[in-house]
Amino acid sequence: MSDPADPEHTGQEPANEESTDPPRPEPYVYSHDHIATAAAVLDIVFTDRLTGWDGWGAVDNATKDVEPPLPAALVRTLGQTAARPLRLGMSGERPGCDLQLGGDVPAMPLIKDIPPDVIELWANVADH
Amino acid sequence: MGKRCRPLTAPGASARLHDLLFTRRHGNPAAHARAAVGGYLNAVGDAADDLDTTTYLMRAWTLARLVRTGDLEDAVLDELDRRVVRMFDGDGMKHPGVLYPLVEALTEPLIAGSGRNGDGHINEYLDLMASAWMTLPGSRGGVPAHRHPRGSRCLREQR
Repeated sequence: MSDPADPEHTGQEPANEESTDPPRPEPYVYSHDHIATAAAVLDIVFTDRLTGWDGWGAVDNATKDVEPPLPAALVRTLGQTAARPLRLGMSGERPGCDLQLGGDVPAMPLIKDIPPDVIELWANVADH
Repeated sequence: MGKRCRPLTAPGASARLHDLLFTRRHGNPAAHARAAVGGYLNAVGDAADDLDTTTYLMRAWTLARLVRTGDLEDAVLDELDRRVVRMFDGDGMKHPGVLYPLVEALTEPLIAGSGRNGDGHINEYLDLMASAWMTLPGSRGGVPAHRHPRGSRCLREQR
């Protein structure tokens, strides 16, 4: 029995394998050497009480003049760490404040989808 | 920005990392929640009350309740009490977005293990808020917050 999803069965053209999506950014790869740098950056950006998307700009400002330049994947990871918004409960909701789980924009993946290398960075910097 | 051996110095950074690790349920989530609560409280410190301090305090309170740790919630509520009193003494009623969430948290039933004294000063706070609200131009004279069994629902309707 033929597969109904088979293009030959349906008569449809096979999907174009060349995607038009922008190239995926290089994934972050954990290095022990990143701990001290990440801690220094987060110390600077959290001098203010960050609660929202302004964390991206704070990380950019803290890292833009660093020589040699930090790896792009590390800067992106620190931005994701600092910019995840805290959201106060609104009128009609239960009182409280949530750390946004993400997933609504590609730049802010769901926390459950954060790769192990990033978790390792978080854990080692937190215990630094 | 060289390598160094000192620990994180910004309590907000520590709070954020432990909060993320708690949310991810990494390692010992209760320990991460406790560290995050401590970080948020330290990040607020003696700073003047604004929307960011309220957001950090409410996140600390939420975490303490998520892990159902009475002494942790007590520590946060003590800070909320201190700030609410200060705001009532000042112009806190002019900044409902900063004040109301803190009062609202204080109206919630305590979790098991709390050493706090029931409602504490909450009836006093609600009386103050209700009195101020009733004097606002255009007030419909609705049910004062202090007439509600816990006041919370009434507060939410006013926000």
